[in-house]
Amino acid sequence: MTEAPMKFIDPHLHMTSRTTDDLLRMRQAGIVAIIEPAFWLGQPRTNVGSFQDYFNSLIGWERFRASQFGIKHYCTIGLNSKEANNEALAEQVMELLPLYVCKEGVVAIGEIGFDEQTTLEEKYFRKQLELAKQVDMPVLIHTPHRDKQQGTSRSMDLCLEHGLAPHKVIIDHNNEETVQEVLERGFWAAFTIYPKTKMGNERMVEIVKRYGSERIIVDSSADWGHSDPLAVPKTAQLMLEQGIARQQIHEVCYQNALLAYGQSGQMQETDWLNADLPTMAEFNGNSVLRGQASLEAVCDDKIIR
Amino acid sequence: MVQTKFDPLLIVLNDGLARQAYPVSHTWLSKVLIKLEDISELHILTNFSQIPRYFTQTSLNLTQTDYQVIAAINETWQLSHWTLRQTACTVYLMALAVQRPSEFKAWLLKLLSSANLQELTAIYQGLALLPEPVSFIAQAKEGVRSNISALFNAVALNNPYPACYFETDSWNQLILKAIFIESDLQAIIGLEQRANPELSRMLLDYACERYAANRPITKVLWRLAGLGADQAVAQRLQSLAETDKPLLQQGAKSALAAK
Repeated sequence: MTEAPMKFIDPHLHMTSRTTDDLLRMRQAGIVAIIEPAFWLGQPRTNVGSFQDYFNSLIGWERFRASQFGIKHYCTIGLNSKEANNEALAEQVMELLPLYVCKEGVVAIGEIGFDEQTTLEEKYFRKQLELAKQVDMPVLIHTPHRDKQQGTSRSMDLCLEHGLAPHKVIIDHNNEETVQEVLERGFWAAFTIYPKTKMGNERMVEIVKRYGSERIIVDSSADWGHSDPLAVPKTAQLMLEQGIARQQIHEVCYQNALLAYGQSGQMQETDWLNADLPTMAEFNGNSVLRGQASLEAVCDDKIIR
Repeated sequence: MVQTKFDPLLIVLNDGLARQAYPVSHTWLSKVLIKLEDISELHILTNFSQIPRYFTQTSLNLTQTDYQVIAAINETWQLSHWTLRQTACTVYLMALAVQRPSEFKAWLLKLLSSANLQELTAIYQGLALLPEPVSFIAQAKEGVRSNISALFNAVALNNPYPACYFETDSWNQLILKAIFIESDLQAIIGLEQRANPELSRMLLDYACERYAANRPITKVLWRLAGLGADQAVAQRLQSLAETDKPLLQQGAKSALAAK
């Protein structure tokens, strides 16, 4: 008996920096839903209007673009840590946020947190945690590249200090050094499979072997850098080859993201199972590509280091 | 509170919601409407974005009497395809326009500037039912320029706004775009009434361009080209009807028959 092709959710992906070729390959590889967190665009914005237009594209244009490829698109809204350092601008962005956080398809406040762990970063991190509590939304936390362990611990301390329940908070960009504390304190632990700077997927396999699949989430954070929008399906395939149970792969590459962000009330499986989205057949004039055959058709090398 | 000619319509729509929506949802909306007179701008804006949390995409069922009430105000209004969510958004905006008239336009512009697809669609569909609809003509035209077909359709289809308020140039662009993106022309209110010679010329040019590119030409295009044809267009149609290109010949004949 052949098993049904696996479905995937990539809960951290910046489509605004990607092309339609990516969307096509993602759908072919089995990605049915994605979450696009509001983030830093690679260079600092100089006025609040740029933020507003960006938020509008997250709730509008990017959602539409993904839907054309049969992918259900959600987003998170927030002020990222780098731009929190521009206080005058940050104040104006904080005024915009309430307009967006309650909208349909917005599944969390995020990605917020620390970059250099400055006073201003902490100020707007805290303000946004308060906003999340007020509107009862999950929070997506970006953990810093530099001084990561301390930055991650402090981020969780702040969440608890502001009275947020750990099960409403997703801590992202974990690694071997941070995962244990995050899981022990009851938060969701997300891992970003991103060449060179974050996790590789062989390392990810080892994490799941050691910690299991409970509250662990895999994502790509694919953006304007050298990154891979197929990181989630590629990692799933590698896990399968390395003997990880199908059910565990389903949990870390699909189900856990749905459980964590579904707490917003804005994301249900029926959104894509019953959605009137185009099928693959409409894209390639062929039958729907399935499972591994499709993945091999669209990627050369599934190892990401 | 200001009394307007829209009051009976507001009552019809609100009663429809009371009949069909979850009681908790209708209660939420009623409380929101009662407080409209003295709440802050932030709440004015966030109330609107919370409507999808309470109202579903179920079709609004209106009674015969309801349709009579609506037709008595304006017979071009067609609300038969509206959902509960659409209705709730429009009821909210209509009530806001009545209770906070001096601030209403600025707020609607703010809502539009941060709106998602669902909210934009709801605003565009209800524009004609707001006081002084003509003051939002720039926003309606922006909707027509959208590359997102759902937004274009929200202005163009089943919506009395363009036929009532668009000047000829904008109307013609709307019709051409509807054909270009293959929207359902029959759902455009005022389609035949607003046929005009300039539109007929554009349609005829477009038909020839499609023919040259070996692409199909929709039948409605020919009928519409014929309806608005002036003498110059009629002459062109006449000479096409006599060519040896069967597709153009057939189309031109059907256009001339519609004239």
